Amino acid sequence: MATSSLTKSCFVFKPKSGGSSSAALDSSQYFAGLSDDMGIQSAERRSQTFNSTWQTAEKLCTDFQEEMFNTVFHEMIEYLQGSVDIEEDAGIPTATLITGVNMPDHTGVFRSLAERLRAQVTAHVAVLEAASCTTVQATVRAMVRQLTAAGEPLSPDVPVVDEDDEDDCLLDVPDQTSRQRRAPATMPALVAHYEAAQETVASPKKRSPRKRARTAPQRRPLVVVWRDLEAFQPRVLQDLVLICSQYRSRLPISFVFGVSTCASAVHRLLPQHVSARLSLHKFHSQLATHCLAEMIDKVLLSPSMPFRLGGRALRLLLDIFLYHDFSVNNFISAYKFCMLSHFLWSPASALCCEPGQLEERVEELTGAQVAGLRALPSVRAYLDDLEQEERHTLQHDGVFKEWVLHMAPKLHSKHEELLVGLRCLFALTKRLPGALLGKQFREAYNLALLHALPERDEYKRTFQLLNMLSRQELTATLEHALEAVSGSGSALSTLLRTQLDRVRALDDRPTPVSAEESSQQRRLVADTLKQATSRQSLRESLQSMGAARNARLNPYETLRSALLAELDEHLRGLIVQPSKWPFNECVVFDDVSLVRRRLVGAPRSSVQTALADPAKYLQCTCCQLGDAASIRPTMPDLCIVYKLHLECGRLINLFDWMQAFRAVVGASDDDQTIQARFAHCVAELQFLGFIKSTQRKTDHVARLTWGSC
Amino acid sequence: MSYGIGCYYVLEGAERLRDLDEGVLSSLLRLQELTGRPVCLLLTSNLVWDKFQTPGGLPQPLLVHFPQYSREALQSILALDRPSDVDEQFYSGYLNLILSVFVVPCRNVRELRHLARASLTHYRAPVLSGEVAPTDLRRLWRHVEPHLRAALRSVYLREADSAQWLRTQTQLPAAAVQPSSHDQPGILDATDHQRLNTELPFYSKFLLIAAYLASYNPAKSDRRFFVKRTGKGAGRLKARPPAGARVSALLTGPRAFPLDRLLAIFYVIVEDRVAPTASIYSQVSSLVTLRMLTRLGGSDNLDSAKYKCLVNFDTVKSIAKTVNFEVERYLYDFV
Repeated sequence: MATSSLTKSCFVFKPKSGGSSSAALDSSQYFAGLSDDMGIQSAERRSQTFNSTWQTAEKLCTDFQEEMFNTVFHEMIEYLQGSVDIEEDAGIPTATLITGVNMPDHTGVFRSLAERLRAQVTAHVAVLEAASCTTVQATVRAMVRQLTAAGEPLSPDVPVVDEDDEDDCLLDVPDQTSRQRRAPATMPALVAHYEAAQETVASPKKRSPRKRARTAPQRRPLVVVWRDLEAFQPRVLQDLVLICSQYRSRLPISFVFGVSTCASAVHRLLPQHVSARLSLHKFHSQLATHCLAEMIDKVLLSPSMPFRLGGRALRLLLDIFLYHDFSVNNFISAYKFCMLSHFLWSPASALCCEPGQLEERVEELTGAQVAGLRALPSVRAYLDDLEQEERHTLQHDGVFKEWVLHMAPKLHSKHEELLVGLRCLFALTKRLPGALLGKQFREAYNLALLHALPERDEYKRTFQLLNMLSRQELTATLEHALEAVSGSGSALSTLLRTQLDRVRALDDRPTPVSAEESSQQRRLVADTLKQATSRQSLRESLQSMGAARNARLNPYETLRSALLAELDEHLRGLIVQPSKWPFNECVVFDDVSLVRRRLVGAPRSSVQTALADPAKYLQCTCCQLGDAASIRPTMPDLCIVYKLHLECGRLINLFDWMQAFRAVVGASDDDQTIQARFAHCVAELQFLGFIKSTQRKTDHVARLTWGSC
Repeated sequence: MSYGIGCYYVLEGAERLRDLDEGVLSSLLRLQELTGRPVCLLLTSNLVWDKFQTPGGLPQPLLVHFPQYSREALQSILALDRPSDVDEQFYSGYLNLILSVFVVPCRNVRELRHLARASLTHYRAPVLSGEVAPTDLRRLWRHVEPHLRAALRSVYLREADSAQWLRTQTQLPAAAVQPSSHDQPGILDATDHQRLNTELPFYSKFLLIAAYLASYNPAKSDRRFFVKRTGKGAGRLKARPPAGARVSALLTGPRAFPLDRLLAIFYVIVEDRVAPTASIYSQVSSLVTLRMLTRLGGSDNLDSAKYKCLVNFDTVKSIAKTVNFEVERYLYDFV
């Protein structure tokens, strides 16, 4: 597009509206376009299913976030509602909202906060961002503009229009309305505006005295939200606090400080004479890890979701969250991407739906699709275990479909069973030493997805440790486990309840060790001690005595091992690794390499791949490499030069390098062109940071990267 | 000359005038002379006049020293705040108590008024319930003491907004009444902890530690801390200068370091192999937004960005503790 500018710079062109809507692709076409021959038949079905599944998930996510915001903001909004009545010399009422360091979520958090404040507290809300508030003037202007714009829909994301731009507009269009809006954005103007607004609010109420009596003392506060307080210039913040405290007698201003790190950040930014003008009130938002646990519980594990993440995919998402950003929004986007990939790439996903719709879907299956289902690894493994004749009957499509109809709904119930079993097991291990299954439920869940848990050491160790618990401890542990599974109404909760009853019933019986027996024992010990002639023999006799005592279990111990064996057997039945379920490919997505490439940006390895194997990104046939180290003359010059430099040592002779380049591209061009092409590539490699010039040797460059091809 | 209709300008916080152009202060001081009108300028400031002097010199104003309030003065100022339903004698006893506790760390009237207002309800509570006679100062003191002690810990923080404070206080007595409240983590310890600690993603913690090491270790010492030595490399190390000759990096403050050095240290101290992904880079800029690092030389310098670490040793130490990393082993000042 053309500009009238004489200098070189960046220009922003907004797309013409209307053009894009007609070109919008139907999503099912998009699905079909990316599928192979077999997948194309179910493309439409899959795109529909994806849409409906994502809608379910989105609803769950928004519900979850709403609930989260409600708990955080509720107290704060109450405080701000009452802030008008706080006496004047107590300082500016300030709510310090500690948001946590999940930067990508802050936009959403503060938008939601501003909406709630507008709806529940006051129409006068200003959201300030550090980027647009570098000076005191700009900050006051941004604040006053937003506060006086009350009533008009003004999203906090729209940056305040620059004063200079408005000046230009004004010269062109001396419009009455724009002149009115351009009342100088200063504090006295704000006072005037606010007083006028109060009068207009107050006057209609005079008509109904009853209503007035209720709302008369209410002055609407002016709420200024400082987003990401740490990023503001301390000077600007200090001055603005001082200015606002001067106006406190006329304007009921309240602040909301959005602090990302910790409450002491406020005192780091503000010296004492400034912070003395504030009256701080702290509000904590939930910890990021707590949010994650809630979200997994409410969204990922919700029984209404037909789609599930596999172990490796879940691990990747958890890693991104815990190691990198703490961002709930990013987690949800990644989850959505996994879901989309599942429906896009796996033809079997046509069966990933609510159990009610399954019959219809199975009816629709064509011969090729059935063959595809039969070829699924999990189905093949299952069929191999069957008897010969049974396998033979399943070769028939009609019988197979019926079998699918029988097996597929079990996927959901199996997941529920897995969850119940895991929750119970997790509650059992929670109080044992060493946190065998992790401290959080998500760790246990991830472990169960990745491995066959009952075969693992952690599982065995858990039961070993449980077998050492005293009666009180066992009762408490079983109570916890019962509490964890009580909502499910499964057989496990009945089992736990009866077990608990049995342990408690044992309490009432008299202790089985009679006095006579114990006195006999004491005599026995005394005898052995007398008989012992050396330290060695004493130790041996004591050990044998201990073993004899251990062999004779008391009734509690017998009961304990019986109960635990029962529990173990039951849990083994419940906790089955999902990859063992037949047809799990329909609902479980675990293609982690596909997702990782797209979710985790790796700039450096991308550059290296592009240089070493350009066909990967260019998608051309001419540069296909049989061997990773081979070089083809059709590749871009830069790639050839890069690959040649990989063969060199620490210092590269430029002349030899160029000769090698000439040999690869062929001597069709004249010397000068080759030299120019080569020099260009060398400069680019230097810019990319692979080589640098060196003083050690003339006509040599130094190589900077090692160990990759 | 008649000064009958004069004009007075009062400038509060006059020390800020020094940040403006040099001419501003000197012309303000000569305002009367320049305008030829009966104008009077009053400057109030916390600084002595010497600190205002510029090389060009300023006209000498009339200096009025405002002395610090004496304890009696403070008491009579605070007495003006007495709520109408409180007995004068009772209130002065209360103020006496407040001042005896707080006057040592805090002489700020504003702060003292705030404290007096916040604790009054506690002081009056036993009297209003009829438990203690208003004249029994000793028992009143015993009742209010734990609250005052708690308030003493958060003087100047202004976090004790009356309403929220009251709520914290109601939970307090159980923990504070016992003399050895130091052993048990009472409610204030919990808030202290929250006030200072930040929850960071796992790699951000390591990035912050790496930034701290890069800022407080000389670049020359990196080889010694972060290169894995095969043999006993002690022979190669130069003898350290004696302790007195070295200036501790903790005293000189953080030094700038390039991004490459930060990432190199980061990859060494993170134990597992981390791919250099885009999210690592974005965490660096997140740390800059959080004011834990600062970026030097403007944002247009894309090629060779330099950073400084802004957090202090205690913070880094507590963060390192959560990831089982011993910072002291890697700090030049400690080895």
